[in-house]
Amino acid sequence: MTSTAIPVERGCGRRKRGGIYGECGLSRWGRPLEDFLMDPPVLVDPPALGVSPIGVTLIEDPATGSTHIVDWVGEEHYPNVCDLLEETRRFGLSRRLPRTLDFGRLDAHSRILLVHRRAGVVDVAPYADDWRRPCPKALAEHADPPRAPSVCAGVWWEDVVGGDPVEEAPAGSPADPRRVRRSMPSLRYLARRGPDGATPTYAPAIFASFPISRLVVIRDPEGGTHEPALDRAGQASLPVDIEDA
Amino acid sequence: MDRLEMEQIPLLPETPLEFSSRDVPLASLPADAAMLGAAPDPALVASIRRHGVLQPVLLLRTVGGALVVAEGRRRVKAARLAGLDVIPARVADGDDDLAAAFALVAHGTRHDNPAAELDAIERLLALGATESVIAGVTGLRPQTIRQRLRLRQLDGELREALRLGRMAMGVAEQAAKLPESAQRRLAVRLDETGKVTAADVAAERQARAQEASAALPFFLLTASPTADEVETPPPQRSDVVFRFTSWLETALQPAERSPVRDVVALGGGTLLVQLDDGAACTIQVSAGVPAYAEVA
Repeated sequence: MTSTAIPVERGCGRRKRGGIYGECGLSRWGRPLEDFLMDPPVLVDPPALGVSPIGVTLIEDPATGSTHIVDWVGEEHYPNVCDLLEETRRFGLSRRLPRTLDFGRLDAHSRILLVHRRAGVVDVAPYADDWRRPCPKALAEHADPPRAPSVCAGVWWEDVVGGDPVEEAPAGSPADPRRVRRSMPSLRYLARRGPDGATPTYAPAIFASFPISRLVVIRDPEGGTHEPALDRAGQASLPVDIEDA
Repeated sequence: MDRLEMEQIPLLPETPLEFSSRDVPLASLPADAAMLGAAPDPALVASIRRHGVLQPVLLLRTVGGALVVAEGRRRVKAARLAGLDVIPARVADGDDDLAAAFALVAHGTRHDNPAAELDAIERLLALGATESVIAGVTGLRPQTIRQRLRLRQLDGELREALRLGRMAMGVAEQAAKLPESAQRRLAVRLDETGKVTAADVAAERQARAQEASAALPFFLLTASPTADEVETPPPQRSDVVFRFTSWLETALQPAERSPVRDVVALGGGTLLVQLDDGAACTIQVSAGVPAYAEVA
């Protein structure tokens, strides 16, 4: 059975009628989110790749011939990398794909590679004195994240913007003036804001790589726009389902 | 009416009209609602408020004495919004049809010269003006100024090609985003063919994208589980269940019963055992030890 994502309101809103969505669903027997993180993140040159905050780009692995989707996660809806990751942890990944995409190039080996402008933290020195998040992938080289030879993905939870301060500390935990509660449309989670006065340098980077468990087309009972969308999505060698908004 | 006849209709006079320059009261010109065209850009209004109308409008005086705007309707509207009473104009005798023809001629011969605009913007910037000051002074929209300034990334030869009209503005904008090496290749192509087209720029962009994507560590990007691996079958039974199932199958063997297909906890220490041949039985477990089996 194909695993599916849960259709809740997400950071970028609700599913649009006639829209095509690429999903990496949740499974009872699935793998933890951390398995799909790029740790350290892979820095990219968006203009060179032809990637922009609008739309998605297809890239081809020259070694295997597989085509992957590079999808820029916009800060407008997801100011933080972990906003999208925590949403995906709970509801699975669901990303809208443009109808103009060449779906015929997608198959079971294709992946959604997620890019965020703040995923690549060039210098983690500002966090060195007060870093509490262990490496999400428990990498040996990230045993001491701020002093690790490469940037640890844990920094995404150490440097969130927005969110409400959380005064109370969990039982047995020391007080943490940097702890904040982030609220997304369908979830809340705890993370930490950046250290006071820290001005980190960011670079766009690929922060996660998800397989595509299926494509979903959203039914448009009045406009019928799902029909051409189904035709487009059907060109992919992937499971395609049609669902209500 | 055939094509020949259409071409022979005299839209414009054989000889040039004789225009005289004068200041004309705005009140003597048609009302805004009577003139076609969009409302004037606020930047144009601001410019006229500050500098007045720099370029005279073209007016035609009809037989009845009414003035018709042949060219410069937006300037007339903007001047009204700017609070002016009179504007400079060049006036000739004519009528509405002639005014329409003149408007077409004026629009047809007028075209953007982005390279010239960029030169002018750069000169003003060199004098210390900011982009917003330039926008206020010239009436150019700020986004137009930023758009022009992006052309500064153009290779010198390509910029000259834009100036000479050998490269379209849209092509130049895309070319300006390319790295120096790619722009040099376009300049070579310009030398060879005399022009740079959108297809040339697109080919360079694609080549650059392929180069950039080829440099990505795909072995890392695709190392996490695939969709098939995420959809693994149900987990293997725990050791405890496996040991119990093995014991049960051993116990059932003398009775030549089928292998155990599934074991389900029903609660209260009762297990439902389903066999491959469709039969089932319940087993009561006490302190981890099966007490008895009962064929259902």
